Amino acid sequence: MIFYLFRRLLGFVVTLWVVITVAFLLTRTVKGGPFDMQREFPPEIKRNLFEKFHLDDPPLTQYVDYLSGVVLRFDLGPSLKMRDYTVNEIIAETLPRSAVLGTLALTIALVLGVGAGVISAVRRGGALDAFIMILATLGIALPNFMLAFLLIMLFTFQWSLLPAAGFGSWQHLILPALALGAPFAANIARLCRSGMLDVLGEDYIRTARAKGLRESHVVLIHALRGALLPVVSFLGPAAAGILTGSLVIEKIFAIPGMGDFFVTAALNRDHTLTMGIVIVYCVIVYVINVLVDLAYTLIDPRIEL
Amino acid sequence: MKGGREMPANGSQDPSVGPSANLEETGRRSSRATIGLLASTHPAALAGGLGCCLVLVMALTAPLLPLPNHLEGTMDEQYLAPSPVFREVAAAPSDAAGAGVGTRLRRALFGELELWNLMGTDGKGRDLCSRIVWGSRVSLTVAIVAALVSLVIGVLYGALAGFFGGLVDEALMRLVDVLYAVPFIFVVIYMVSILQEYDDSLRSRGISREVVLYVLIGAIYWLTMARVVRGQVLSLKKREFVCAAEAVGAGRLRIIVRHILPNTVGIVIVYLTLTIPRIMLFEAFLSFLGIGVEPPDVSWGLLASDACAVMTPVNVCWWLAFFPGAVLAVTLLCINLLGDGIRDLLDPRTSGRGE
Amino acid sequence: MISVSTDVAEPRPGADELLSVEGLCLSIRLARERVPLLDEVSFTLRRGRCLGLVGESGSGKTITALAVMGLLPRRVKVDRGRVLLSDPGGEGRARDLVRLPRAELRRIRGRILSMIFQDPMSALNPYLRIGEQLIEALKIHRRISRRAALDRAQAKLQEMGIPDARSRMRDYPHQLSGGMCQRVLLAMALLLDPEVLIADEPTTALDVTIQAQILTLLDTLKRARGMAILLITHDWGLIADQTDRVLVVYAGSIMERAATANLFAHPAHPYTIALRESRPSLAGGRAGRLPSIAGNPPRLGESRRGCPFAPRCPHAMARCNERKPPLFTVGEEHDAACWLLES
Repeated sequence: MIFYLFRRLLGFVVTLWVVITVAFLLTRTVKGGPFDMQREFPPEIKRNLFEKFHLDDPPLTQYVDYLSGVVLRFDLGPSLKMRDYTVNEIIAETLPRSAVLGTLALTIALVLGVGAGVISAVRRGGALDAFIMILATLGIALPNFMLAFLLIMLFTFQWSLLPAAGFGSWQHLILPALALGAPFAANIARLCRSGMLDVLGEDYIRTARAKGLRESHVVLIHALRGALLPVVSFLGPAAAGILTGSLVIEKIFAIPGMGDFFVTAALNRDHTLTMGIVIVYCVIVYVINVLVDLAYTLIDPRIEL
Repeated sequence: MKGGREMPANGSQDPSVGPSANLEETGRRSSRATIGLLASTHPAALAGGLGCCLVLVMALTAPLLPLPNHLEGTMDEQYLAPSPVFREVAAAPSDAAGAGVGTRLRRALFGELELWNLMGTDGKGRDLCSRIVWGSRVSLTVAIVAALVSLVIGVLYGALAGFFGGLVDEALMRLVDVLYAVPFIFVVIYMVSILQEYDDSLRSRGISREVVLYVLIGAIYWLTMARVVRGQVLSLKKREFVCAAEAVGAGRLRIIVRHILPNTVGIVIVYLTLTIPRIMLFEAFLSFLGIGVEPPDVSWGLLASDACAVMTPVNVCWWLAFFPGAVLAVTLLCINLLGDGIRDLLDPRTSGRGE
Repeated sequence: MISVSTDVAEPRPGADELLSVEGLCLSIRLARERVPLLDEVSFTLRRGRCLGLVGESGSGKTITALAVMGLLPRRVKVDRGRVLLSDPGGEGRARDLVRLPRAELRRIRGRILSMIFQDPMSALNPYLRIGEQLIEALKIHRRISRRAALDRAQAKLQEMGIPDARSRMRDYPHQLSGGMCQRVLLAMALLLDPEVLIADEPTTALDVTIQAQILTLLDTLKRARGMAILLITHDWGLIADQTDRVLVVYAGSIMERAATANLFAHPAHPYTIALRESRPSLAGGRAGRLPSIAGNPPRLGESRRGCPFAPRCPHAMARCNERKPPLFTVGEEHDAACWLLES
């Protein structure tokens, strides 16, 4: 176990280094940025930039500077477009909002997905199974912004139940979390269903039934564990997908989260902010993947990390 | 006969493999029998395949169809609800395509008629059905090109890693692991958004922005393909026919190309059918953010995102969102069904199971 | 070493018959057709006796057991027949398990009827601890506390010869050997003191020394507790060693049934005779090719009129292909289904 964590830490360091280096290269070499030497700047701005980013120093020094800044001081630099703000400050403010939304979306995806998958598998071949699977296929085939607008049409325009924009109360979170989590609920439902069907054919399920256990007990206590394994493996990609999806969902629902700021930053050519957020995303995804591996061992005692 | 394709074991006791498979007689299914088997056990997959073919046909024959101009429209025809009617061609395309083969053929077939307002119009008075049909060309191009990019990179990478094994494999796969952990999508989004800056220098070299876009999209998905192909190659390496080829003195390259790659076709196809829907959804995603397909080009993703942008409680133009969404959903559904069917056919555990 | 039990089963008076299968016919739905699986299978399980069910793979042995337990897969249906379970008290009506509502059948399983299966390693849930799996049935069928259930489970494990039972209960199945797993399964099956135990190839997946231990356990159960055992196997050595009566099955039909001693001494059905002759004997010298029965057993779906063994039978007559022979009496409690015996 210790060995495993050590290996993962090593991998993390390498990955992080790659991302930071790529971030550095991209921001310094991309056209139109403040580091583009061919652009004309007014003199005070030029002086400012040179001071802040030590553009007088040779490139290697700049690189080491940047690298050490990120790693040692967690300093991702100043925002290029939003004066008076550093990247860290922006992230500190927006990350919690996105985290709340993302966690809620993932929870919805798990609960809905596993529930639907179990019901579908137990009622296999029936009308409910077909209905759930059709919904699931739709959930995967539609872009999430369409789902978002469908929800808005229904719950805001048609029925005036929930707000469509803003961030403040829990009501503001329901629709975006649903729109964000639905495609993953659909995937999880399919994975859970097929996992469940596989497990229900195993010998030990037959043993459990031969003992005279209630069917609900057989399904929930005996079968569900094995069926959850493919779902757990999917949680890594699902988390990454929720991060990606948040870019669009936050924009639609006007939630001032990290995703929204990432898009604005990219469109505004705020390179330091963009790359800073990418680095944070990288850390988040890595941590989640390690947690998923650990969760795997909780479920299956045969696995040793 | 493709190199080394294995024959199913004779005398299988599986009673559910019916006479349509003719397994014992020839030891190998004829393609007609395969389709027959597919039809009886997986009608959904066959339907999916048909659907995909239909979409392809639609995209290819777009210039021949009697559709209105998809690029221009008149403002007094904006936001019309669907009410189809045949009418005389209202606005000929303003580019000089009038003399092209396609247009001549179309005139020969349909004269000067066009089918107007089958699915409603958009904010600029343009016929939605026509935009959907023409949009299919772009959407499919994106999907196919990006998929090909990910395919080529992934297969080559995976095949090399799997075949050479040892240190080469270790190194290549470690690189994949690192890249996998990097949230590539964001980097790509960033790079795509930057693309605009490079428009001029690209154009001067004759590379269109679109191509770079497609290549970047494809670059996201090659990692999984590489892993899958490598796994397959590793297991194939140990099979007898590879040893046989080596014993005869076949060179390494020859073995890779003639023996191993053909046997990865199955699993590659399966992954393609998984990746293409994701590519199309990603294109929709980029178009929604404004950095994907740009006007005057039109794609399904762009149509869907445009529709969402104009949606207000007052001006509910349901057709603008419904038709592109439905077409996208149905196409992706067909691809998924086809992929499921192919996967079942190739998986020895489930093939022949006639539930 | 094969020894033949000289215990000839004599029907004792009284509530001695625990389970009676009468004319059971099963069919399976394959590619939109109904294909027969079992044809008119009948037998009785008596207290303190072991009935052997022997036949080749695919002859229908396991599906018979599953039918009794009510664990048939979805595509298999009971067309005709009854499975009568007599009341434990000895009086009162017998219940037909085939037609029992599911909830009642569930209460019977584990408590009165229990079964152990062929592959012990895969019959235990790999994700749960042994202890949990053991006490489940206890807590559901009898309302006792967790502590009491754990104690009983531990006692049962020790009875099955598992050392250090308490710590074994905290283990996961993959930490146990095959023999241990089978003992655990046996303990699980016996925790509620059932009256009938069905053992489907209980030792096939185990090596010979463990086999002997498990079989001794089964034997003790039979004698000490008066359990009725249905032993399903393809191994004639086991039949000779463990059973009081034998049922020979081929392609879903009964070929012969008799007390074990009689079956070995005077086999009547050509199939039984051929099986006996095809067993290589350690006593005889090198005989050249190993004897075997020509041909293959019929595949599922290949239904035919007449005796299922006719294509491979050295004594087949024209009649054998036309009508299926009923069971003819050959001796005391000894029948065989063969036209040769009609007279």
